[in-house]
Amino acid sequence: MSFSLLYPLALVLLPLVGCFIYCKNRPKPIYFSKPEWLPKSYIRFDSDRWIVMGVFGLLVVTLATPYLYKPDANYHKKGRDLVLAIDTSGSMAQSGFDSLERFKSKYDSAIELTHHFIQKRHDDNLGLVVFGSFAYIASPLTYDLEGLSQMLHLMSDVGIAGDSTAIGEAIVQSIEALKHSQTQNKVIVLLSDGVHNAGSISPKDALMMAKKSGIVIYTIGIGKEYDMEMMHLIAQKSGGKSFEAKSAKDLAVVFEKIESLEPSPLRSNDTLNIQKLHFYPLFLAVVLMGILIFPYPSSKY
Amino acid sequence: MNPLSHILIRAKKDIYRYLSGSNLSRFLGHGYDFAELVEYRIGDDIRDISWISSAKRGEIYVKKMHEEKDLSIVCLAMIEGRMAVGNKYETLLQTVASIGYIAHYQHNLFGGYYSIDGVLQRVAPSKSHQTVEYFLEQLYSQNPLGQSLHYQETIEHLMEHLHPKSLIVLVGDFLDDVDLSLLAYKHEVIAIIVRSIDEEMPSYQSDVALIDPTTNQASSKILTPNAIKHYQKKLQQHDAKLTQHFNRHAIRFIKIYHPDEIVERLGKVLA
Repeated sequence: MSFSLLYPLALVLLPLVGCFIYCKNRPKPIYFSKPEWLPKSYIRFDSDRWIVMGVFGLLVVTLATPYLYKPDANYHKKGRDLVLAIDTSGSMAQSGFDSLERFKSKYDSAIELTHHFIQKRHDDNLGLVVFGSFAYIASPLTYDLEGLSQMLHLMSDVGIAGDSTAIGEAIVQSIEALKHSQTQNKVIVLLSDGVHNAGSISPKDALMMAKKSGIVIYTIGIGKEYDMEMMHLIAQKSGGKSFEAKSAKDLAVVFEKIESLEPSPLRSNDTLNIQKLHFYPLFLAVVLMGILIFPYPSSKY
Repeated sequence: MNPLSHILIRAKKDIYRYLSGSNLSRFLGHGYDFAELVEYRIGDDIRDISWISSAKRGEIYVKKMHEEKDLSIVCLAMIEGRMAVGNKYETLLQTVASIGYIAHYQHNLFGGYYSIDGVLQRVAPSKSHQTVEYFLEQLYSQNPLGQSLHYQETIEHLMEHLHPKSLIVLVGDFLDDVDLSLLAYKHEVIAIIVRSIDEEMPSYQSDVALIDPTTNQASSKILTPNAIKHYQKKLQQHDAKLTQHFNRHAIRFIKIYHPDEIVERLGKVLA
């Protein structure tokens, strides 16, 4: 764990603590009958002033907001920005894709395997695009894999975006989702079982846009009825690869292959596992203020 | 009203009211003890004629009394810088005024001494209340701040001045060591210790500069809770030693913290 400050500029106030010593008010003179009976004191320990100084110092440290973090989780992280474009057209409702569970639809198998895929993407920024007759961004790029998994289940369903297949729009929406990505390695994983038959944008135009943005598209054709040629073309032209998954087992293998692709370092400055510590100095400051307000008994004779 | 007049009126009022309760009558009574009946002779005071005895015997008789010798009360006001702490000086003035009025009420001689800049000043004794008031005026006009008093020298000077046996009332804070053994041997001595509560039980204050009232100079010492404990221990030791000294030499003493308690406390020591 490493230590850092969220607002280090606040520490410029810290030297002002010296003012409590050097800019002090002129002490109030009082007549004392027998000062010679007081013990010799070489250090002026005026507890009240030290407490006030402590409170000030601690409040400044609280303002600076100290925190602990894991540097490994930040700067040395490898990963990529990846958008999953999932086909939710009517054909995805067909069953028989999984040999073990015959009544499981292609969509359910794809979602389940996508979920597992997401769980292993610790170092990636992931986004989700759902498409059918039209396409929409179900989740922007995020580190929050748990949240993304939830969105996968909540924001998608067979037919949720219509029964047709708008691959061109799916690619465009995926490009849109990657628009703010700062990594050089931007990837779209396009998962479809059908033929482009809807939308105002052709896959060819979408592919050109993807190429212009430097986005690599991996295509996964599910089942046997997808437009293999187009899927190959999209993958090939964008610098990606096209995979074929005739069964749930094949799809699992495809995801494993995609997982093994070389990740790129992230350029995000966000930190992970932050443990903010500002409550500790704040608590101490409150305790010290309590001592000031309720002085210890020895001061009252 | 001028503060001095206030002090005098208050002392007079308190003393006369208190004495009417005759608590101090044994010591300050002005009655005469009956001695004998003698025939009237020229020069006898006609006020002493006992008319009843004269009527019974057919000759003029006068009552002869043991005339009580006048008591000389000498008050030494020990003025020094420390008297400026709290309300000590007001208490001292009130105490001196009270003693003076007691003496006046009892027809005793009252005189006073005080020391300023190391010189002992005297107010000649008399039975008049004007002496009390004059003495108070003198004391009131003094500024105790910056004054230091050498107890032993003052006591020695006082002994040189006082020849007849007197009742000496010393009024001061007795925070310095003092040896009253010789004075107590020759005279009857009463010590009235005037202190302030804050002086005996100082409270902790931050950001204060201590000033020695006897020199008017800032002290390098610091007031901390621990320093206060140390100071109080020293004070207790000093008072224990002082009490021992007073008891050994049969010196009656009282401690007064506030003008309100003067008469009652004086009653205890003078009774």
